[in-house]
Amino acid sequence: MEILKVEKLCKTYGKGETQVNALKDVSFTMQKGEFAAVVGESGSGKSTLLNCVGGLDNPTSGKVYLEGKDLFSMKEQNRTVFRRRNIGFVFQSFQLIPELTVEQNIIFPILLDYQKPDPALVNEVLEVLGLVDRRNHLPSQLSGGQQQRVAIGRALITKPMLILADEPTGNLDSKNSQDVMDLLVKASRHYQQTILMITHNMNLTSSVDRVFRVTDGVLVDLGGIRE
Amino acid sequence: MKSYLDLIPISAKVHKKQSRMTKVCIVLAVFLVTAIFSMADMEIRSQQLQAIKGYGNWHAIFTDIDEEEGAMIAARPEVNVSGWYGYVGEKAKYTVSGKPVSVAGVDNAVFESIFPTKLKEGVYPTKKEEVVLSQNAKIALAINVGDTIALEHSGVEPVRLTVVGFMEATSKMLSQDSYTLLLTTEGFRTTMPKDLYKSQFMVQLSRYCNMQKVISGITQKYQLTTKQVAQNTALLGMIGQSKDNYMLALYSTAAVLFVVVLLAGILMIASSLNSNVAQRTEFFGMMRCLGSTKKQIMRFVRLEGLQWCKSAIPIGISMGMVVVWILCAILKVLSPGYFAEMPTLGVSLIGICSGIAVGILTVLLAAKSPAKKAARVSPLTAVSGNTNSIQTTRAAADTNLFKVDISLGIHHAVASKKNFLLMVASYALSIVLFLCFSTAVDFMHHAVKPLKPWTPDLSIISSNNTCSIDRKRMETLQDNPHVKQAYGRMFAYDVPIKIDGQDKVINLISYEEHQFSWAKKYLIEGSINDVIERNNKVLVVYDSATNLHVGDTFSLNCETGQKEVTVAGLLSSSPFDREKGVETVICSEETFQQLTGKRDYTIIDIKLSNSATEEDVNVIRSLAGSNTRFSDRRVGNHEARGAFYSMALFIYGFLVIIAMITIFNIVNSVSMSVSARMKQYGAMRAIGMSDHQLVKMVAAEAVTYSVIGSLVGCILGLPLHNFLFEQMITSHWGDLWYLPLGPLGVIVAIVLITSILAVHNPAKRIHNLSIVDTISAQ
Repeated sequence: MEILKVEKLCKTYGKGETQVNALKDVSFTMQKGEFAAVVGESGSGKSTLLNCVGGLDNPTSGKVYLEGKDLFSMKEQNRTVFRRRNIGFVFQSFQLIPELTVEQNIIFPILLDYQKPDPALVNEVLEVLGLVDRRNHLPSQLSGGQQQRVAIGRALITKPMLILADEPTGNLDSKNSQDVMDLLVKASRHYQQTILMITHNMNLTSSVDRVFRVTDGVLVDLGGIRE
Repeated sequence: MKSYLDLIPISAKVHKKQSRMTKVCIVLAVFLVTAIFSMADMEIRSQQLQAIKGYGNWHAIFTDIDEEEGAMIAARPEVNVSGWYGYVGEKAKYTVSGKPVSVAGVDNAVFESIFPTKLKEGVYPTKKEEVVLSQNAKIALAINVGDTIALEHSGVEPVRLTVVGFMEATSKMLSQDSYTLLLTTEGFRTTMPKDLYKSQFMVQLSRYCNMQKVISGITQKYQLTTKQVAQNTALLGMIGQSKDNYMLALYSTAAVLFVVVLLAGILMIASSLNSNVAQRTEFFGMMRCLGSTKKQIMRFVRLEGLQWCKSAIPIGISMGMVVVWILCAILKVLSPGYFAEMPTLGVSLIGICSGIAVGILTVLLAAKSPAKKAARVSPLTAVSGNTNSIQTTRAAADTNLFKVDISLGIHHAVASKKNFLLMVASYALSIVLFLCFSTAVDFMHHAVKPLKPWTPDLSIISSNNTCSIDRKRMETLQDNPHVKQAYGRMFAYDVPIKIDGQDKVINLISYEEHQFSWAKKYLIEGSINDVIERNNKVLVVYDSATNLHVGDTFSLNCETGQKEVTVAGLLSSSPFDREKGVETVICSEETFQQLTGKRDYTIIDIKLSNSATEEDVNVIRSLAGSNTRFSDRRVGNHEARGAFYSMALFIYGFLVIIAMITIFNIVNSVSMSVSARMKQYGAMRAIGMSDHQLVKMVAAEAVTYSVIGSLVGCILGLPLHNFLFEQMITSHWGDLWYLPLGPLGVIVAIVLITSILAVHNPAKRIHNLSIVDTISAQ
């Protein structure tokens, strides 16, 4: 089942001589449960791609469909709510809310929807993340790896259509990096979660279903690696 | 770059917005202090002018001392000007051309330096047979410089005096239609019998001595009794030299206000600097990482603060001065003659120095703690690249009580105890400040009375208080183009009445249409129209001992016989003094005529049009005729108006400035708070927080500060209001303290409404912010 469809996505910064084409006619699709990695050099346009796919940044042209819904035909307010419910983000610098505990951080998107979280699901996620005994800790009381696990939990809790991870291991040592990768793979397999991850570490692509390479704004599908 | 400190202007350029906000805080604090202290200074100067104009520029008067003692006092180094003064009032029945006069004797030095009036024409007398007269005598008695007048007294040979000049007439002289003759001390002593006056020695002391000490020194040295020593309390009070209990109470009030204003200034700057440094933890960490010592960081923060002062203090001071200039200009426009001596572009050194001192000292003091905080930043903070999450939160937000956006907003407000304390204190102080200064409004309403609408410029009064001023004279006056309004009253004093079988007396007064319309404001029961339209209906002025009520009928024992009248209305007050046990009863002219048979007036009040000149007044004076007193109240009205305007303008000015500062402070604080969390807001938006939720979160934070600030403000402000009220008002006029619901409502509403509205701009900023930029900035 096709979850994500990106059609002729272009993003241009600046004008005239300073114009930079960060994305050039990028098109691809992703199926449900697929775990894909985008690799590329610094400045190649991979973060721009992720931001446009996640609706954080507006593309110059092109379309992004999530389960057939055109992300950029929505009004900003609707897009925000759509993003909250359907897209999970994992950032390199975690972006946790320092005033909220581990558990509160994880259920934050549900709280933003003014809904009550399902305690069973919360416990399950905490268990998967190995953070049960840390549930009442503040982010400042956690290690980097633990903080990133909380961020993954936050991305998982709404069971979104798509998780976008921007260099999720960029701030972590190799042991924590591997833990985070294992978690993402587990999420992909266990919850049939579609994940699009950016990384410049080719070693991490060994556990993903598919790899894209971005070079100077052009996306090339390198196909499956795991298989 | 020659030194690491050269980084300060560069850093200021990079952090332009934060620097601007901190500068705004310093400007506001300096403006607040400069404006309030300058205004207070100008008000004191204006009050000094008024005190000097009213009572003269003397500090002490010693009565019944001998020549030698006088000479000894005069020789004291603390004495600026001194001299003998003698006064014989109208009651002594001295006359010039049949008009009663008062006579004063004083030497030129005292007249020039101490007397409230100045010479308008001619010279001051130097010989004992020379005299200066008050200006009003010149026209009334048709005298000119060089003329000779005869000072007469029954049974005594007239004294011939040569007029050498004229002096200003005081408001008292003009309103009482009295004339004053001024002689030299020698002339006075030769002319007036010794038993008619007490010889007084007037002293003006040096501004810089301890006047109370000097006065009590003189008192002790010459063993004078308290009755022999008089002090000019009003003037001494204004120059801070009074020991009068009431003045001491006012000084303590001023001291409290001074401290509150200073605190408000300090807190505003401190909370701003605190927030500014907190936002740049990473930057200071980087500096530490690159090898800055803690001392260097502290120096950096301090110098950065002083750098802001360089432009913020002059701006704050200029703003404060401009406000004071505007107020002074308004005063001069409202009451040109009265404030003529007050400079429009006056500079208050006290205001400026306080502004500079508050600016620099507060920045240095306030920078101390952020500087320490900055110096404590670990180099690790800079290199970890994760300053945001490492930041400080000790307890988690409680998301069970409110929705998550509101919970986070409240938590943002209270999470950092120090920041919370500073913010709440600065909000609370605004409320305390407003409440404290609002006591000055009560003080003003007690101390200075505004002119009532019925206050006339001129009055023609029957000299024996009977209905003897011809009615036709009123018609002539009304036809005069320079008369705006003329209205008369007939008086029948001590008219016996019988009510419920009891004998009492009343003063019966007639009103016409203008006076009835002014009385409407004071009607507490019944109808004024009934009194105007129907005969034998009267108004009674309420008194706690009054037995008369609406509907009561009583009979008057008039010259024309027994007449019955009915009370149709009750007034809360009237412009007339009342004697104990004598009711004031007001009726229409028709009723008055029917009751008393009198048609002519006892008093005619006149309001002049703006174009009326001195000559027009003289024409009206000539119409007054014999057997009348002509009371010219223009100068007195001018003084009363001036005193009220000056006080009202300054007091309401204070309140407006405090309200403005409160508004700016709240707007700036909310804006700074949002700037400090901009990155976090970016992350929240990425995760799915809507703009509306963000606005709610910021509003919750702002409202938390303002609600707690308002509560603390009330808890601190009300007892202080009580204290100041008792010091200023209860101690003097006996009014009991009341809960100041009006001012409290105004300032709390300003605080709450401003904090909600203050969210608007930062919300717009958050909305316009690119999520990607904020996230990648981390």
